[in-house]
Amino acid sequence: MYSIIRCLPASYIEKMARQFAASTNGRKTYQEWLAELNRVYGMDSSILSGFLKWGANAIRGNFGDSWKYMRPVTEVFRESIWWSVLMNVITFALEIVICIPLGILAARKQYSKTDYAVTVFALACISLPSFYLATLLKYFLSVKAGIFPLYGLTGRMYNSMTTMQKVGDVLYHLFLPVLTLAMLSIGGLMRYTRTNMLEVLSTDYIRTARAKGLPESVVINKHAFRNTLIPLVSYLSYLLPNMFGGAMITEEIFQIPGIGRIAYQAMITGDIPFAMFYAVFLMILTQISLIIADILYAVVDPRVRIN
Amino acid sequence: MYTEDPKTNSSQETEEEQYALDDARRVKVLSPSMMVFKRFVRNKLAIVGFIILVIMFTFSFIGPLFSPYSIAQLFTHDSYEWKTYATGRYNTDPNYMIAEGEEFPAGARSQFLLAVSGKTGGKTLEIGDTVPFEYNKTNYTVTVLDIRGGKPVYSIGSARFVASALLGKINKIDPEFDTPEIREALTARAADKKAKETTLKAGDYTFNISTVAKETVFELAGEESVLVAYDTFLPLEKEYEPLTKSFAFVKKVYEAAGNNESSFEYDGKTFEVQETESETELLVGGTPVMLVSDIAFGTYQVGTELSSDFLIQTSDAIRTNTVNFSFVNSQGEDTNARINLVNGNYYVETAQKTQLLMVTEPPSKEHLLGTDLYGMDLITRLMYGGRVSLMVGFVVIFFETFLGVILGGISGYFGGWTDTLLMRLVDLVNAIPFYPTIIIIGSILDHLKVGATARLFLLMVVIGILGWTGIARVVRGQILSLREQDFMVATEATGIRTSRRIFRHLVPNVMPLLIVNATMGLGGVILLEATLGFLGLGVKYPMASWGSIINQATDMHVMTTAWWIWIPAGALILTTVLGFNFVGDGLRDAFDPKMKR
Repeated sequence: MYSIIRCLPASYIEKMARQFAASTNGRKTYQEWLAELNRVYGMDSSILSGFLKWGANAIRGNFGDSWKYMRPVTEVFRESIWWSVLMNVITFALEIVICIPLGILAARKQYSKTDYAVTVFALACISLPSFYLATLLKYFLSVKAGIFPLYGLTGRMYNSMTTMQKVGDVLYHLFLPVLTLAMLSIGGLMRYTRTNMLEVLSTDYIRTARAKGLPESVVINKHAFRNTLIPLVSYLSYLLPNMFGGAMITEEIFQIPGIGRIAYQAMITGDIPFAMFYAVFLMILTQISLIIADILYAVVDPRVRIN
Repeated sequence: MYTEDPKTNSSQETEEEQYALDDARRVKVLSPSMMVFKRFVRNKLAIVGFIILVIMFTFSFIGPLFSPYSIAQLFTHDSYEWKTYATGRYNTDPNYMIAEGEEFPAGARSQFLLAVSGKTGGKTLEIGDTVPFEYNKTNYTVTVLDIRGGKPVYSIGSARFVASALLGKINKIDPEFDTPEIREALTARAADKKAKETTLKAGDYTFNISTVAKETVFELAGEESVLVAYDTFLPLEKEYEPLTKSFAFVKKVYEAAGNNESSFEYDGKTFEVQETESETELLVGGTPVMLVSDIAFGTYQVGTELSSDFLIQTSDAIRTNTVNFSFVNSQGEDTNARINLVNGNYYVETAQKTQLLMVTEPPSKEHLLGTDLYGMDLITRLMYGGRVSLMVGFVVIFFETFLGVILGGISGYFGGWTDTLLMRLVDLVNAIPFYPTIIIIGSILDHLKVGATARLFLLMVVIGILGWTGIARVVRGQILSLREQDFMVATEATGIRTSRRIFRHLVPNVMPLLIVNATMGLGGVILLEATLGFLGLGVKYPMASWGSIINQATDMHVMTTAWWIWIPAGALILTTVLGFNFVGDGLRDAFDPKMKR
């Protein structure tokens, strides 16, 4: 297993983030100001020592104050992360509900019209640029049809609503972003399900099951589907960083104050503490997702447990 | 048994011909690439994808040759715009006209203003009234020459010191006036404490008298050197322009106007005076030559000459509150004008021909997909953008594959600590979050003001460096399993060089996988590049890419009103990526016989 701490010193980001910050200060202020700001922000030390200082603080959980938001990084993070998670959990659920049945259907009727339709749909979803899809949805559903709000998370009357109405309002505002995210991720999962299902369906034990005269539903649901779960679980665990990391572009376009948008705004303004925190956060997420994948493997595949 | 050459068994040839494989048939059956090709061709989706790609390539690489426009050509069109031509304004502050060689300091001005506003004791001044004031030990006299439009015209003259007397005795006297006659008269006046007249006639002069404490001062009214009026002198004929700056002439005009004379002579010419309520027109021989008006005009653009007709018509329009009027300009053209009143300034606007950038023009015959936000032809931009997008895709994929094959191959073949080291490197690169890195690098490039081409290449390198791990893993996995196979044992036994074993025997076996991965990856890279372009981190002007064209749709106005800017660009990205995915999918099926029907 690979440890996060080891990957930090060699990562490019710290260096670049630091250089970038130094350059923005230099561009915007006078020399005295530059020195002063550098001192205030602790940027006057060399890259390596600055990084070590930062690292020492970060390990203790002190990520400093965000320059852009003027508040502790962790506080900003806590406020924004749940919007992203909420959005992504809905997307995730939607994705599973849509993709797995469709993928199985396509695999069962390989090279049929259904299969072609599913394949084309899945590939089209993969090929859609996220910003284009989001803009299209906005254009047709918000601007032309006027059904959904253009952006934001809450409506104008949000503060005077009852709790139930508030929930409804947020969900209503989340519809388009979730639709965007779902459409973008559907393709991959659908194809993955199909491929794995095809593989399983061509195995000997499925032939045996069919030869025994088991009903097709039992063959598919009990014998085939359970075995496709193994690769599926590994695939789904890779989605974890996406889930918590926020969907930068979608959030930015729909102006959802999730972690993706907050981080994007921080990064384009050169907010080093936040950018650093976000980068570390993503790295940790990646590592956690790997661990979870391993654990889930053991859960769904008894053979792994025995080993 | 296939290798048996049918020609050696010539006797059985005829019988076995239909069963045996001749060269042609054998090729048909055995050539793996032929088999892949046939399978590929049978796949409808793959063919559709292939056709899409051919169209895209034609569009991007051959299209620009037929486009009549170049990549960053700006289009303009002529149009009539209301532009400010001149400004007019009622004079609210007095104009001071000072005679040549004379002075009227700022302090004197304020004293003068105080005198005419305050010391008149609330009574309105009439023509001929005088008001004295003092500044810096000089006495001045203000005379009202004329009342025009309710506002007086003042003439100011400074006094000339003659003599002063203290306690009835003259203590100072200007030698020029030191004649017995004058001296006597002045002494008499200074001694007479009860006298209240402020003027004294002595000899040929009329002296002004002022008493400060016990000192009596005698002065001579000086030459008038300053004229104060709320008027502007507008020459209607060019030759009379110098006169507007001549103090003597101006004074003459006001005197004539104040005395209600119908004409006066100046410099050998007779000027007729025609007065209206607030304007005075001067005519020479029946032709109007000058306008004295309380409206001042200024030009607004360099090189504008205000014609006499303009002055007359605009004055009329301003006085009658007319918005639209027309005048003949200095080139003799009829010009329509309108007046725009802002904060007491009358902006005279005329319709002028201007070149406008054709921004966000809807599709037309000249511009099949309209023009974008900067006035460039969209379809041409899309063609060149396609070049960039496709080129970025190919270069990045080539780079990624190159790195991936080398590192993955070495890792898979050698195993052991090399493998561990390289796989840790892969993990490390994988852990670098992509977008944050790219965004930060993009900002650095922005700051360093890297040129468009250099930026493009740097971007490709960065994407490649961050993206090679996937291919490396695939290659390593494949090589790990291939390494154990018999043919590899054979290469080892025959003593073939290591590099040859890897790159001649192993890598070709990974080729199908690589091709599939590269094709699918191409779509991915194109998407990525488009996303970066959309975020404004991609290629910059004057270059174009599909993503950076869509970037314009981040502007709400463009998104809602100019669909032709972003919808076609997005559709191109979508179809191209779809094409690559179809082909990649078809190739995968074709290379992988296990999954065949």
